[in-house]
Amino acid sequence: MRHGHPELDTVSGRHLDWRLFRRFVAMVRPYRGQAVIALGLLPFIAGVKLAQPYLIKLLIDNHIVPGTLDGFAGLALLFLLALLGESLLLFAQGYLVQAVGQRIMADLRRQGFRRLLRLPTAFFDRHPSGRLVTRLTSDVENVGELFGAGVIASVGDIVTLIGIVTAMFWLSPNLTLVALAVVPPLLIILYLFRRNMRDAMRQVRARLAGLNAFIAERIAGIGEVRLFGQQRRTLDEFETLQNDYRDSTFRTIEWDAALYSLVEVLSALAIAAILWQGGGEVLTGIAGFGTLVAFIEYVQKFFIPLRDLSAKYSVLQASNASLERIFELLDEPEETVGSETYPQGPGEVRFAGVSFSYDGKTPVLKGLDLHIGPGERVALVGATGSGKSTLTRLLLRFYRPSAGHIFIDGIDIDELDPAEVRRRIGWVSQEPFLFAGTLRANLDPAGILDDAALRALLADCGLEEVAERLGGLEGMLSERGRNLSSGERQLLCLARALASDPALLILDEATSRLDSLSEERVEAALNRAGRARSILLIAHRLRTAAGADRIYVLHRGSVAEVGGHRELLAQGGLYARLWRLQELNGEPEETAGDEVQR
Amino acid sequence: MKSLRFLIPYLRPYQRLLLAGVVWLVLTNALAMVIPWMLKGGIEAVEAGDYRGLIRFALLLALAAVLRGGTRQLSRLRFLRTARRIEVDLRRDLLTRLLAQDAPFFDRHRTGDLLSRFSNDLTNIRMLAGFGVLTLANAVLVYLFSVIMLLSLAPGLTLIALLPYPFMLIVVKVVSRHLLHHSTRVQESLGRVSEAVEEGVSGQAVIRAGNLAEDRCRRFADLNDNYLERNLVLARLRALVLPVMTVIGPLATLLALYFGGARVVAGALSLGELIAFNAYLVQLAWPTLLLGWVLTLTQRAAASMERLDPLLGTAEPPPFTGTVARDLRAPGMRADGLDFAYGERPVLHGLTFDIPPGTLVGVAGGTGSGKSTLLKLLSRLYRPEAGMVFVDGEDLADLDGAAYRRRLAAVPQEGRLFSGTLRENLLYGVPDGDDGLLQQIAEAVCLEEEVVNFAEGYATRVGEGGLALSGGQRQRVCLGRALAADGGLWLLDDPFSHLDAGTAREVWTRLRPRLAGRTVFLASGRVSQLQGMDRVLVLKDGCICQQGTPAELAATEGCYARLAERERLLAELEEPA
Repeated sequence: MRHGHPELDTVSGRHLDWRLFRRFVAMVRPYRGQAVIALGLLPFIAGVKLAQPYLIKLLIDNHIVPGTLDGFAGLALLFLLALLGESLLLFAQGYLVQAVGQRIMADLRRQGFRRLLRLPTAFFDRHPSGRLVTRLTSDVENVGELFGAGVIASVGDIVTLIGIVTAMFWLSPNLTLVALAVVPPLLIILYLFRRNMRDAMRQVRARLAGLNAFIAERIAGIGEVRLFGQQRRTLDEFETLQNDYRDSTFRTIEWDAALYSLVEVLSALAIAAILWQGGGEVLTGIAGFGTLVAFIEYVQKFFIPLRDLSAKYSVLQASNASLERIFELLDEPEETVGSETYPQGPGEVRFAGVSFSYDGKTPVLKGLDLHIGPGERVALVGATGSGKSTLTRLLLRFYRPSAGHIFIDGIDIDELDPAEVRRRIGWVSQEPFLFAGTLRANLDPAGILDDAALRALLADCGLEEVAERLGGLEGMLSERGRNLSSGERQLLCLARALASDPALLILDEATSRLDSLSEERVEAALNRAGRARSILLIAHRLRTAAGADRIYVLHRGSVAEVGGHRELLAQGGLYARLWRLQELNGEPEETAGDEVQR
Repeated sequence: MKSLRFLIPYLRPYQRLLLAGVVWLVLTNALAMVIPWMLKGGIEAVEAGDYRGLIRFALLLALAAVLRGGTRQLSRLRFLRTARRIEVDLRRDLLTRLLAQDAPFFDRHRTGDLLSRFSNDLTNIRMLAGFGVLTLANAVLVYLFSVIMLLSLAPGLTLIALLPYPFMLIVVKVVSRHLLHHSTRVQESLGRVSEAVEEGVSGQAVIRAGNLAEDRCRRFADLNDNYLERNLVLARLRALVLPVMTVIGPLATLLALYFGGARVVAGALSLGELIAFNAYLVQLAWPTLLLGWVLTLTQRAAASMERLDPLLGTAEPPPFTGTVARDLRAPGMRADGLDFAYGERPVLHGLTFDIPPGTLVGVAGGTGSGKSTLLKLLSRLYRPEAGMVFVDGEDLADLDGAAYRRRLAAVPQEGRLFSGTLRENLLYGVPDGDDGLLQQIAEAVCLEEEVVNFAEGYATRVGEGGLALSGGQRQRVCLGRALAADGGLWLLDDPFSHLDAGTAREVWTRLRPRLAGRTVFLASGRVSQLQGMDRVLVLKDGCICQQGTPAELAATEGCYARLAERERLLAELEEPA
């Protein structure tokens, strides 16, 4: 956790970005049919909505004022139909908009996940898992509103506004000009709001980020706070940050409240203006009462989209920031792929002068040479940090050597498709990792083996009882295989590695979690299943290494000694010292001795 | 709205502010009632051919509108500011309780999870406390006032025109029950999706090595499709709510015009009255539209409140005292069959020792032998069971942790620095320390030369968690920080691990005289560092396998001697072979 606070995403203060937005709109393409319908419904919705005030005008001017109820019911029925139409259209449109939004979100998640699994290993060294999960969950959720509340709603609002103004002009150009006299001040207010709100919100976000960083640091350093008895002081410092934050939010509240009240004032002023001018026109006989009422209705509809403008604004800001982060993930370069096809071979491995460094500064491997012949069992030993696991990661093509070459069956693996290289290699790591799901899905994800073969494999690895306890091949493993003991997990990982019948098996401290009984089972399984393949063994207990055909002793990234167990012991070099060290660590000598005899 | 109740204790400190908000809101709505009334007056004036009257009513309407703008602004400010204050209060409460938690709490909860409570959950509650409460209060007032006005204009017509509203309530109630059911299903599905992402990230090496990417993507796509499916069902339900809410207002208008129009024709109602009646009806539409939204807010906030409960539900800790004088009395430390487990995982077994005040105690042992755990227990970050550890004869379990820690100068194994300057970090325990003290401790931990080379000296910012410093510098700042605070009991957990042997020796030489008369526990993976100790406890697998003076221990065959031999061999290994 020393590398900062992985769970907190930095808040970018950027506002709406057209480049992002255009790319988002391109994602709508697969659903353009539905999107076009949703857009196409907008004029109809505006139509039925705007027909209502006109129908009111007709009701008043043609029937109520002259006192003729002929056709009154028919007109009312028309109104009712307009209402029904509006609700049906709103339902259809609302559903379409959400559906398109949801489908885009599903696409983003699917693409994001696919991309995630194809990124180079180094990416995961830099990015903590919590943040990546956020990318595909909360960030994608934030984007959901963008299509509905962003694209369609804005177009809808514009269509409605145009429709309203048109209808008003058609009814009475004169009265329209009076009613719309409030528009210029409205535009000024909106301009001021946008400018000030953007700055104020940016400040709020920055201060909130500061607050959260403070909290994150104190949670991580809670031991220090308590050891030094600095709780009071921590709270005092926190109070200062909180007060700054609160004051900055007050600025956004003022603008938000001001916008709301001013829009309300302007809409009521427009009504007053209509009453004044329209009332005058009714007096002089130019217009009827119905026109007056219809105008009041239109003006009110004109102001509705403006009421929740500030809420919409913050939704768009949030989704914009999320969208930026998601696209960043989608733009990460994938792991490079080689071209050469893989020849069938016995799985001979050769490292020639391989050097490597994770950060480009500290060398981990230095000009290393190593050879694993077909069917050979080779062990790597050495102190922690001597480069054993790094070597296997290079062989698996997780990373590429900074110098030197690695050959499998005579071909440089740099020229091969990494997937092809890995297909030939079975890897059992120190941390047994299993997936939530059935036993079958874990053992044989590709579904190549039949039941008999799977059962044989389980038997080979001494897992029959485990399989039975889980309820057969369809038995479920819980998350990470928590319903198994760590020894059983490791055995299962071994079985999984063997399932694809690889030419080379890498066991990276694969027995570290096993008690001696389970270790014997693994040993037996290897002897049964591992006969025809090459094995590269990283041993944490030297006695596991002792039975290998050849032992490489790694020291600070290069090979210090090579040879068989007895040979190396007789040399009295590093290996002999490590062996002695192991004894001091409390490995029972007799057992180790037995192993050597075997 | 039952779930609103949890907000009440937090609203209470601001009741005056809220009351003022309510008063302004009442005024706002009273002024809102004036507007249709003026409309009625204006139309009646037109019917009477009274142009001056029309102008008068129009001006009054405008005046009411402007006044209402003012009161609206004042009421909104009161409510929304209160919500921000509540957010700040809650955040303070959360942090205060967090600071009072014992170490096991932080072992149980992931940092990210705790942080999300500080951000997302607080946002949900603030939204309800602000917009939610405001919208509700406003809706109640609008309904109350408008219905009174409607009734006073035309009681019979009111009953007819309001007919759609109960109908709407029933629909909303039914739909919201389904909404709740389906949003739970959506949440479940989202949980599975995020688990799958997490699995994909954590297992990336296995997926890569086993060429499982295609398979994983396929499985993810299935979960993703299921999530989409459930979301679409929810979307259909959600799409139902808006049209119902939107159409209610115009439907009431239609009823008012249809039945009211007949009355106007019959002469039972004036045209002005009908238009005013309709204007009052229209005022009901907007608050109605917002109620659905408040419903969602309430659900979200209630869920968030539940997540905050494990913290907020704990009793309020007694107020933390400010920095008080350190206690330099060296304690005698006695353990009597000390057992300890992290949850289910036992770590220490039957540790027994008796250390007189002022002793230098070395704690030796390999990784995982329990050294750090012992020191954490002695620092009282974890609480030992009663009757196991005694400080000057008093049971450590009964002592007040904060008061006890005033005697303590501790250097944890991977000490954390806080972003800020070097000076702030060195003087973390004594914020009012002067330059003289700063200079002294920097010298004692061999930092002074490096600091001189920093462009900004002690004002250098150490970065988040001290990232701008090297590991060795960080470790020495941690040492200096403990030295500045000082205490009668020193707990040093492998404090030289990031230092080269020469620097480690030099720091220790400078530190030693300052530790005279203190009780000191120094845990170290290297026994060579423990040679000058009065006594050494040797731990193995959580038990004390040997204790005595270094000389005694070195002379006997046992785990200490083995550790020493092992270290010698390791040192040899470090030499180029």
